[in-house]
Amino acid sequence: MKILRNVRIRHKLTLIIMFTCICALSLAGTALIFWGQVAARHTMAANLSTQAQMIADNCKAAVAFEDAEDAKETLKALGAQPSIVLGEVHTKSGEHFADYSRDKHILIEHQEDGHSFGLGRLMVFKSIVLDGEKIGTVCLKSDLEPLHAMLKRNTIIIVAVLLFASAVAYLVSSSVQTVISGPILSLAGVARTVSEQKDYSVRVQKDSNDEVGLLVGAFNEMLNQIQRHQVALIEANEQLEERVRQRTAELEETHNRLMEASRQAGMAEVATDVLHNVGNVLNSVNVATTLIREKVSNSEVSSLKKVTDIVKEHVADIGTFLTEDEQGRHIPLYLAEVSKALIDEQADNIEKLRSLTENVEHIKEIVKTQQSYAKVSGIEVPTSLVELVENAIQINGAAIDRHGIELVRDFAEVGPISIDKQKVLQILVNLISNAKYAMSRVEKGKKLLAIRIYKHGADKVWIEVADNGVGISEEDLTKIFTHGFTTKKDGHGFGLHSGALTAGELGGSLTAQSDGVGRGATFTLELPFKPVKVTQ
Amino acid sequence: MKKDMKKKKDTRKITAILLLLSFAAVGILYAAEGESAPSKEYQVKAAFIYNFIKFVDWPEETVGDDSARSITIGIIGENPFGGAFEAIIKKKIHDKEVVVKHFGGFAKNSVKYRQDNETKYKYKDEEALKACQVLFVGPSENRYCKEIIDIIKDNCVLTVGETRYFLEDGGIVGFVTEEKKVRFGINLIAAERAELTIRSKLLRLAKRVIKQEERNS
Repeated sequence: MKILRNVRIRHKLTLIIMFTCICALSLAGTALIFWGQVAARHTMAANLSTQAQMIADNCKAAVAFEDAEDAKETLKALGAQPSIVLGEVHTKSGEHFADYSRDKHILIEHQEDGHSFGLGRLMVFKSIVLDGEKIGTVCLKSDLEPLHAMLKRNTIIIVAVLLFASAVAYLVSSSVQTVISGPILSLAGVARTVSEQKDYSVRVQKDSNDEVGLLVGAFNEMLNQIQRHQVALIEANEQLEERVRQRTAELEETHNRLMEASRQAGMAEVATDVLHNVGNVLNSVNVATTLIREKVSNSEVSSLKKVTDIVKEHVADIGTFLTEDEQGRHIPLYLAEVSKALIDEQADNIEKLRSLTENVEHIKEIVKTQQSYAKVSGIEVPTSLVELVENAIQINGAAIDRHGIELVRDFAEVGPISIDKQKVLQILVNLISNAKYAMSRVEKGKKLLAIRIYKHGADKVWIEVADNGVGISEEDLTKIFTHGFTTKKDGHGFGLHSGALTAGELGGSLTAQSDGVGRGATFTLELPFKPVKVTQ
Repeated sequence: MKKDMKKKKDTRKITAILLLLSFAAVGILYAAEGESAPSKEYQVKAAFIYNFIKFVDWPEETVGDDSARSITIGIIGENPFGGAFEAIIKKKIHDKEVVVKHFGGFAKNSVKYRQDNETKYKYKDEEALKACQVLFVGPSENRYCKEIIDIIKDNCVLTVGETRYFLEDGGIVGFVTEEKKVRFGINLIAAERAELTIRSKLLRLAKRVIKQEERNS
């Protein structure tokens, strides 16, 4: 069947029909020949038996009256039949009585009545019965030439019929096979058109209600569905594109909004820290002013007024009063003491005011710093990284002091670089603030915050902020920079996310490292090393 | 050993007795055969006569009471067949018994008389003779063939004889000997007169047939 794989269905059908026809005909022919032979053998045996019977009948008298000549005469009649080669008459006791022989005479051994087929011969024995008494036997021997001739003739006829029938079968099947192959071929043609041209609008002509008709119907229905689906798909695709465009626009907008929000949030954080510091300093200022007010209100000045009032009463006799009067005599001493106290007081107040001025100056400084950063946002200016880091520490300074964090500075000599310092400050403030938070559980006095600045390679500068706080689990390391991730109770997951974004904007990166929970964490801010050209 | 010897002796005795007995049987049979041993010729003739019956049809009406059950072969004169018939006639023909009947010699058992200027003979057992289906005229009666035939020629009797002119004498079947073989001739005219039908198979074997035409010519 493998060889038929590449044969076209038209030829396949023709072949199948022809093969079936030839098989059936061959079988029928073989059966015919076989039965023909069987029948011919029967007929031949029957004929020879009849012949023997006739001879037996005609020889009856001859045998009865022992007239061998007459018997021989009777046997001569066998000459009319060329297939009979031998005829013999035996007496009752089986002795040879008379014979007829075509060519050479062979005595036949006596046998019982009946016929037997041998190698190329048929023998028939027939009793000669006279009035119910067996008086002899006729024996005839025939060759099988008629059978062979018949076999030959029948075979030739059957083969001829087979050939003719095959030819007719070929012609008939060639035209009949179109009944089946036609619809299939048209189906195949349409299928090819569909697959080659992707044209789903074509349909197969349905002209029968058999299985092929069903197939055609199903195929057409399939094409209908495909066509419908295709249209729907195209529409959906178009809609999808539109939706994607809309979503992209929305996303961009959101992104921008978020960026803005994060930037503002970053600034707000810095501002909060700044205000915190300012608040602390203001507290000192407040304390100082209160002390000064108390000092001033409890001043020895009032004692001086009492003395002046007493002096005023005794203006007329001031001399005597000072020398004579008990009370007046004490006045110069008292005045000396008051003036001494006042001088002390003044010194104290001056000292306090100086401290106050210092504090105010501090506030001014903080605000100024903040102002200077706020002003330069978005512009790259020559910046000293060390100064920048110190500023960041300073902004967090109050908190660092309060939490008792030991600060380790390890600043390599890098030189000023050109960078947007507002953004870097923002990141650093956030990192320090995070570190401070991470170490909130660590025992006071053991909190360690290390900040390092060093050059990495030729064109990178690394700023490392390392703490010995809670650390970061391996799982969290991967999502620590995603938006909305936070471990703080009141956090909004902005800081690191916007920090990483900002670092990216600056042409650098922000990475985190941790040996696991409880082992501290190191954040590394990588910045491009763009040294400022000295124009001198 | 003694026992074996004895056994051997016994076996020998038995063998001897058996041998003696068989010799005796052979002797007796031979003697019986010799007693009525017919010549080969008459054995054949007996068989022929017996077979003739099978090829001859007797008219229906003549099948009388007696002959309905049997076919009688009459032998007139001396019996030349000896026991030859006895061996054959055990078998029935056409479902009828075959009986052999012997008649005495014609000369001794007939009376001569004249009627209408013709010399006629009256046989003693004439009626029995006429009732036969077959009558063989024995060799002893050769001289009286014509006379015997004259008596029964109008009856349904198949006359068989062996004289040279038996057919001319009005006999139906006459034996002849050709090259030491027994053959026969048939007189159809006589057969017709006796209302007997001779089957063609038998006629074909006849060496000589006397027919109407032959006589005319």
